[in-house]
Amino acid sequence: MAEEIRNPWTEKTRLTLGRYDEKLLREVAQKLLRPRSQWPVEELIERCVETFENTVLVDRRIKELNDPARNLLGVISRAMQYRWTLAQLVEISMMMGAEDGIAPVFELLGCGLLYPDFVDPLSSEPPPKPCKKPFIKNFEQWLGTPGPEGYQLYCHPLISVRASKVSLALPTVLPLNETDELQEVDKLAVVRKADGFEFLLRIAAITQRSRKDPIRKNQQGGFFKRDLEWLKTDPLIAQAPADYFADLPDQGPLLAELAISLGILKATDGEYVFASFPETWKQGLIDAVGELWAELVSQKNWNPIQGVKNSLEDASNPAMTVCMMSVLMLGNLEKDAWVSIPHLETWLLARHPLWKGNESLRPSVAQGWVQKYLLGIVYQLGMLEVTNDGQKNHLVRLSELGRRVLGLEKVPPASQEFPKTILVQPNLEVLAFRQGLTSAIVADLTHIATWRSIGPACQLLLEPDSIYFALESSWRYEELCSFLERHGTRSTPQAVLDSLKTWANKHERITIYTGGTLWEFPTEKDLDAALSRGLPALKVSDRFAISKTEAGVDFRNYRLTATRDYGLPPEKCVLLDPDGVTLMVDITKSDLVMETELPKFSDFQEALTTQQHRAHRITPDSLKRGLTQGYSRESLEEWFMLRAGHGLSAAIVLLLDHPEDKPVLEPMLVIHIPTELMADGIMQWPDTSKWISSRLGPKALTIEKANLQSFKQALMTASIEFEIPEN
Amino acid sequence: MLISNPRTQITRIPVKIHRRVCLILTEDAVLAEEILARKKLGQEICGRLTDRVLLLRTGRLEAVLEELQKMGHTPQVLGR
Repeated sequence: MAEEIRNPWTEKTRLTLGRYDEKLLREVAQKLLRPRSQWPVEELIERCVETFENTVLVDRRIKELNDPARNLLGVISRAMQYRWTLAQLVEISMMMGAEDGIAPVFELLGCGLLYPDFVDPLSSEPPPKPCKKPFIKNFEQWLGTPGPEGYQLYCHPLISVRASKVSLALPTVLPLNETDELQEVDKLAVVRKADGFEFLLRIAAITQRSRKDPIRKNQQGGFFKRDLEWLKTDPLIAQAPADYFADLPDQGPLLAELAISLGILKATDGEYVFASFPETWKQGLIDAVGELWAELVSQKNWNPIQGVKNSLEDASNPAMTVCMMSVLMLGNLEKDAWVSIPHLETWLLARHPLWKGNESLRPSVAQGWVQKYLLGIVYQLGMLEVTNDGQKNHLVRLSELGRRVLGLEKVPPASQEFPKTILVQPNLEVLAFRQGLTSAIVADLTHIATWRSIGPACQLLLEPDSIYFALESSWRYEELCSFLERHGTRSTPQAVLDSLKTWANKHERITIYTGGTLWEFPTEKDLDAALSRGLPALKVSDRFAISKTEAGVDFRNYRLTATRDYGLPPEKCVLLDPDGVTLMVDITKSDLVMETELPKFSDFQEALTTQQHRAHRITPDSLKRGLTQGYSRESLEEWFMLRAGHGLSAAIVLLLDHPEDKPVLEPMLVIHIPTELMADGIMQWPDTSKWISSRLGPKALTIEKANLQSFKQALMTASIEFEIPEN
Repeated sequence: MLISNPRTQITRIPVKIHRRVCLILTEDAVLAEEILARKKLGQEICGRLTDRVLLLRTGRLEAVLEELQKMGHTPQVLGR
């Protein structure tokens, strides 16, 4: 997992440093590395990124930071978010007490602990040589011309992890204003906390719905009207939870945005479709909830009072910074201290640059953000406990789950548990009891069954579509049964197992390869030899084998005679032998469709086949076979034009046509003429041509025996001698 | 048809590779016949390579899948 996180960020940092001006790079490296000699820029960059893995050095650099910068880095770490906007960081700095919000950001940039986010490591364009085409000469210049990416920054995860130990400059007891009353907890009031699954379940339901109705976004970054409509109204997604304190505006669109941020929904051809659940869902609720909470601060077009903005014209969303800080503030208070939300919000807004001393704000946006955020979202994530004071006002504190998410309490080691929490009924309905749910079970249930209702006991349905989806997601029948057995409070009814078996069997009856590799061997012996050498392919005929990809193929075992892309149009690849019936197929140009066509009207000739050509011969029988399979003279003519570049040969026409005029056998005399010119003359001069029956060739004429003497006399008049043998 | 490389002593098997092939592999020939007989599916098939292998026209996967599901099949799709 660490490798998966580290590599893209390290590569990103390497490329970012490469776009710094050399002077700036050396200044940053001086503070980060303190090199004793003048290294070339390539080596300097390499050493800078290697530094991130040196925990002792990183800790030392963090310790050396001034208080505002260290505090800012501490917040970045606690918020578990690596990407930030400059505005957010300035707001956080000022809320943490810095007078100049931008100075701590510059301090972190200058020390190489924070970086402008303008490089895409996955870009296909080759990066310029380090420091040869600098994008940033100094950070003041970047502030003036940030480029198309805007004021985006990021903190390397390895640095963020090390900053988690920084104690934040936040009060441990919330100071009260003169007008605030101290609110005591009503000792008889119930302490309520949610199980943390509400949003996970609803995100699961959104991903399921998106299989049928993929979510689309317009160019402004908002949802399409139709999609927004169902996200706002689908009861499974939009209805208020059974246990709730505050209505959340546009809950569905927010959850869809979170699903996109988490990579559960991914853009494919302009549509957001289900990709996969994050690894954190397998690891457990703490990780899943933590990741979800971390993504909230980066939401640009939703806030707790106005709901969805559905347009990114104004990308600033300062309320989310305040909301995120409210959770960090709760985490910094004494463990069991209860806090009134209005007091907390007043304290935070008094320090935020937008609200601080700003009396011109509309009353609707002046306050109420933190109340909605904490009670509407953080409570549903299970990170908050809520109780009342004597006047029934809500008091809150972080729950154990919340403290574990923020890293304030140790997370117990994961145990291999198989909670029995689902009940499969013979009518294919599944009840999932919330008490035993885990995020992994939610993800698995989403794969195999359709969510019907979300409540204290969730209702799902096993149906062909859902099982088909599970099978498509590489589940096997045995795994489905095992999952239901493992987590079922009772054994799975036989009727359900039978249905699953039927659907799974149907799934195995037809396999579609969407872009497979088909291996064509000259003979069955070659194919068998390849399979025995471990070709990872499925034999589908005596000469063909199919594989999903070419991965795992040892090409040293093969000599490629040709490769052919199935999507290419057909080519001329047939040579007709002079005999007019033998077809020589050039295997470097032939395609699969032709392989299916030829056997219909010709016979394979192994003896004539070479390494470059496969031979087929058209015979009367093969032609009859072709005619019974739907070929006609016209379609064969067309086929020959396409594949050979000319029409049917005379021999094939002879085999195809059955004319009414039949050949006749008759005796005839043949006269051989010495020259072609003389034969032309005989055929042209009326005195001779009238006795000739036909001309067989350039110098051969036929004549009836009765006309022989007359023909001889005609030649004599032209002084041409013509001998007629006596017999 | 096997070609031996005298230097390495590896006998290399000649093979032609068809890439990006879109095809349907059925459990038996009868099922392939059933698919071919279905009007909407038949027009999407451009050839029958073997009894059980039908070649699909490129870019027609979704239409084929939809029609197969209408027939009550739940085909396994590989490589999507």
